[in-house]
Amino acid sequence: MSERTKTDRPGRAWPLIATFAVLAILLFWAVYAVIQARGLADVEVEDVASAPHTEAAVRAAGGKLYPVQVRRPAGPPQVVVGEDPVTGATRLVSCTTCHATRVADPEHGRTKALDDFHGEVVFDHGAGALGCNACHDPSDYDSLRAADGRRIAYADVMRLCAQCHSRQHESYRHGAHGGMNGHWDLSRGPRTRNTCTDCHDPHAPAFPSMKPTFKPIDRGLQPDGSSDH
Amino acid sequence: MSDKNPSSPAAGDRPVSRRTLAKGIGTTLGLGAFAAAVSPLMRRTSEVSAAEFMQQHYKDLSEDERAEVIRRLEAEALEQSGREVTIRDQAPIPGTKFGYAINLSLCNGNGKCVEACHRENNHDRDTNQSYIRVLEMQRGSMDMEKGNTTYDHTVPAEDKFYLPVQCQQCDNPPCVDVCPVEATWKEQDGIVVVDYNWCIGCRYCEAACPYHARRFNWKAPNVPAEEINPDQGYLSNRVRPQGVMEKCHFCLHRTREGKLPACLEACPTGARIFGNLLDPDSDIRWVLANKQVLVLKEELGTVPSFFYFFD
Ligand code: HEC
Ligand code: HEC
Ligand code: HEC
Ligand code: HEC
Repeated sequence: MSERTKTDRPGRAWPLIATFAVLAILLFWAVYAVIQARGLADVEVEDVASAPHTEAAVRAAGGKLYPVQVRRPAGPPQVVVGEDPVTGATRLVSCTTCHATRVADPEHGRTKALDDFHGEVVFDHGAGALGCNACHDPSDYDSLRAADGRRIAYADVMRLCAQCHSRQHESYRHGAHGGMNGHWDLSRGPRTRNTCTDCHDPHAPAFPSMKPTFKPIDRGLQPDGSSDH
Repeated sequence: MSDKNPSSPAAGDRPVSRRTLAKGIGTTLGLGAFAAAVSPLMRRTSEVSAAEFMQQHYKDLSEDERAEVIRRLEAEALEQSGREVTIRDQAPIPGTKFGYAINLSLCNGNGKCVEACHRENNHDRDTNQSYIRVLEMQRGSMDMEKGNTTYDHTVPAEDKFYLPVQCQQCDNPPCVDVCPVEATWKEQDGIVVVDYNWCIGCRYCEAACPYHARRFNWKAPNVPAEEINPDQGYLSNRVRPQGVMEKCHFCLHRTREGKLPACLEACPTGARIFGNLLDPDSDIRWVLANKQVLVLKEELGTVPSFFYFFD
């Protein structure tokens, strides 16, 4: 058997080619994923994102635990206001460009629709109880604000969601909501976590329905319960 | 089930029961293949190397002998598929007992976990084999025998919930008790494993498992060389021979190195929670302490390490 492994076979180059192909696909995929993430940057965990490690856990790990990285938006969003007539590039402006001089209408999003601008914002959050200014700070649209008026940076959006959804946030801090990647054992490697808006559109937060794409060709169980066990 | 339940399908797409399924497979593969699959000793005498035939039970081998077995298996894998693989022999991490929980309020039955398991664990491509089944369940019932795996509509459907089922890594595993050759056993970290080179394929364990969590290799798994996951474990995802049983091993080639299982990472709803039951600060312990968890078929006394809850 071992002799046969050593004999030259015509298909020998294939594993190498396959490996390169896989690497190329992985690289493409990684770059694509980064582009998809649209400026979402990984930042070290802060108090709001996970349960603090007890001293005992840190000691057990020899004083060293890998970090939990929570994905965060890079900063305030911007609005597309057309194309540059010369370069053709999309022109983005920040929220305060217009809103620094506009008086906010707190009824927008609650009883009053937006007809002059932001027509693309589909709003379905809070069953009529929330207006736009429940989250957007009318004195500075480049930031969010908490119910008590304190400023919350866009990057800290989890803090915004947490104030009204403390139960989900508590579950999130213990891994029971929001998912994760990487290591269960932080003494052996790091972990990455999503932020709330990776899965929930802040304006229409219901989790989207999905279509199952992979089905085992397995009919081991049937709904009428007449399996032979 | 009640008559207003839409679960008695039109005769045309009627799902097949386990018994008819077994018959069906016998017919499609032909009697010869059936006989070959259920009689591994026949296979042993014809196409298996003397070294493999003589291999002792995995648990009895010395460390050096294990290394030798693994070298031989890697060479065989290269010969058979043309793909370099690494087969490692990860030992349980001392002080670790793995537990798994699923938040059924989040799971929407999309099946990404099923697919991730399929790829990670080098399952047969022809049957879309996987260690996970996701059952579509009527709200209000936890009877997994009434679940349906064949749904293919947009999820979640009205009035349904979704119950992913894989090996529950029981503390009293009925499958281990019935094995006539001790080819399957429970490891220190709670994972029930199978030695694919010792299993004789009698399928007693499959019949004994109340969770339908064991799978039988009716034929040698077909995985194209370029799709093989080369990161393999002796007791986990190395490509299995024909005629042996297999089951979820909590991705031990990953989890014994501190990584999360593939099905957990693939879940787009974040419904899966994994960790060390012996660590009081772990996420899984928080779930047990703070959520109303339940286990499947508790009345059987199998004592699963797999928990479910509604949030
Ligand atoms: C090109 C100018 C412009 C820019 C840039 C702009 N807005 Fe507006 N915004 C408006 C106008 C005009 C309205 C009022 C629309 C109406 O009355 O129908 C408005 C309304 C709003 C409202 C409703 C509450 C209110 O103040 O009346 C919110 C919230 C809002 N904008 C948020 C933002 C955010 C966040 C950004 C940055 C991502 C942004 N806007 C960028 C022009 C702009
Ligand atoms: C629950 C909090 C919340 C409410 C209520 C809310 N927003 Fe937002 N909005 C956000 C967050 C968070 C972002 C940043 C999204 C991101 O990072 O992609 C955002 C982004 C935006 C943007 C820029 C990007 C985009 O999605 O178009 C606009 C414009 C905007 N909001 C307008 C509005 C308007 C108008 C309303 C009222 C109808 C409103 N928002 C209500 C939280 C909220
Ligand atoms: C000012 C309070 C407030 C803030 C801030 C807030 N929400 Fe909500 N949210 C609500 C209310 C109210 C509801 C409706 C609850 C209900 O129907 O019982 C809701 C509902 C939801 C739902 C359920 C939607 C559905 O249709 O099932 C999700 C998901 C959600 N919010 C996510 C978020 C996320 C993510 C954020 C942060 C971007 C956020 N919320 C910020 C008040 C808030
Ligand atoms: C990995 C994706 C994911 C992330 C990240 C996530 N959620 Fe969710 N969330 C879900 C899913 C899936 C549901 C269930 C939706 C359903 O009921 O169909 C849900 C449900 C909710 C609900 C509605 C609960 C109810 O009972 O109706 C709220 C509120 C919510 N999430 C808030 C949050 C907050 C706050 C965060 C950030 C701390 C967050 N989510 C992060 C996937 C996610």
